[in-house]
Amino acid sequence: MTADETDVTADETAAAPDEKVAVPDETAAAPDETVAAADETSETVTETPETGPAAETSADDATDADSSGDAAKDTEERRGRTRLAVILGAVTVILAGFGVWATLEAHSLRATAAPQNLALTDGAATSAVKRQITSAINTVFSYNYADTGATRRAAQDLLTGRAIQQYNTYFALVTKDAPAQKLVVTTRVTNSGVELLTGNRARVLVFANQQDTRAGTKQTSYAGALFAVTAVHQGGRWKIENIDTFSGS
Amino acid sequence: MDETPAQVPAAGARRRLSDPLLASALVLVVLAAAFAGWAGWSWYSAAHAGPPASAELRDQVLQAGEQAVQNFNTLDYRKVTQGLNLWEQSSTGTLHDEIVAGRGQFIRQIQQTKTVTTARILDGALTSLNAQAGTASLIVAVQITVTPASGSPVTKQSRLAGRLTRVQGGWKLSALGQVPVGAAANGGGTGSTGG
Repeated sequence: MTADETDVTADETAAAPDEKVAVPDETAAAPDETVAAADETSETVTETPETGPAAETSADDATDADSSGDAAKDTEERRGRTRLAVILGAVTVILAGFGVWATLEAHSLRATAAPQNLALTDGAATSAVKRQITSAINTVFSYNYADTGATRRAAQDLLTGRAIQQYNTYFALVTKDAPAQKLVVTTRVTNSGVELLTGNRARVLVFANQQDTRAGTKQTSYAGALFAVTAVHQGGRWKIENIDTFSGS
Repeated sequence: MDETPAQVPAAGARRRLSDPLLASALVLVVLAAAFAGWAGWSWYSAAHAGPPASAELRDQVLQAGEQAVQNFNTLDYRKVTQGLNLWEQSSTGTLHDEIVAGRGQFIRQIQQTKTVTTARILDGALTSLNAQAGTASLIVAVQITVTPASGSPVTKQSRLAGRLTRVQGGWKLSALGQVPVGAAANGGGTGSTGG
C-alpha cells in the first residue's frame, strides 16, 4: 500500500516538479509510515531502476531519510529479532511437545513390556531360588507321627498366600492319619528347574521322592511327586506361595 | 548504502546476542532440543528393547526340548514309521543310535500291542545351559495317554529328565529318561513311551 503510494508520488514528482517540495514535507510529516514500510520501500527502490527520474527521487529519499535511517534500522532489527524470537519459541514448543510425548510413550512401552525373566541368565539368583525352595519343600513335606507339630511350626515361615490354605488342608489329613499309622515321611527334592524368575517372583518345576515308613510294621514305600511351585521373595527369603499339582489337567 | 551491507549483519548479530529476549529464546530452544533428543532416544530404545541373547537362547532351547520330548512320547501303531522318523529327527548322539538300532524290534512290538500314545507337556524347565559347549539339561512334566486296541485309555503323569545337544539342525535330545522313584532308583532308560 505504502509502497504503491510512494511509487505514485515518485511518478507525480517527475511529472510535476512544482509539487516536489510538498512531497518531502509529506514524508517528513509522516515518518512513521515510511518507517513502518521500510522493507517495502527499499524493495521498491531496486525494483524500479528503469524509470530514470523515479530512481533519482528514490535516491534522494534515501539520502533524506539518512538522519532517521538509524532509528528505522533499529526498529527494523527489533522487529526482526522479535520475529526470530517468536520462531524460536514455536520451535521450542514443538520440540518440548515431542519430548513430552516421547517420554510418555517410552514410559508406557516399558510399563507394558513383559518383565525380564532371569531364570538361568542370572546364575546366582537362580541357584538361590532353587536352594531355598528345595529346602522348603523338604521341610514342609517331611514329618514324624510322634511330632507333627514340629513340621507345622517350621512351615509357618516357609509358606505365604494361597499356599497356607493348601497346606492346612493337606496337614489336617496328616495330623489325623499319621499317628494311627505311625507314619514317618521323608521328602527329598530330586530335580528342580527354575522356569521364571522376575524380581521377587519365581516359578519352579519340582520332582520329589517321598519315603514313607510305618514305624509299627517297618514297611517302607516310595512315591514320586511332580508339581510346580510359585515362590515369592518375602522378608529376605523365598517362600512358597502356591503349589500346582497339575491335577486339573 | 554500498558499504553498509558488510557492516549491518555483524552489528545485527552483536545486537541480537545482547537482546535478552532472543538470548533466552535461544537457551530455551537448545534445552528443548536436548530434551527432545533424550526423549526420542529413550522412546526408540524402549520400542526396540528385546530380551538379552542369553534369555532368548534359554527360551529357544527349552521350546526345542519340550517339542522333542513331546515327539518322543507320541506314537500311533498305524503310523509307526512316521513316528519313529520323528524320533530320529528329534535326537542325536547315543539316544539317536539306540533308536536306529532298535527300530525293527520296536515296530514289531508296537504293531502287536496296537497302542496309540499321545502326550501333553504340563510344564518344563531347563536345569542347565552351556551356550559355549552347546549342551543343556531339562526336566519335563508330561501327561501321557495310552489308548490300547481294546479298552479305555490310560492317562498318567510322567517325570522326565533329558539332555540336549546343539547340532546343525538345532537343539536335539541326546538323552531322555524317567526320573526314578525312591530307593529303587537306578539309571533311567531312553525313549519312554509310557508303556
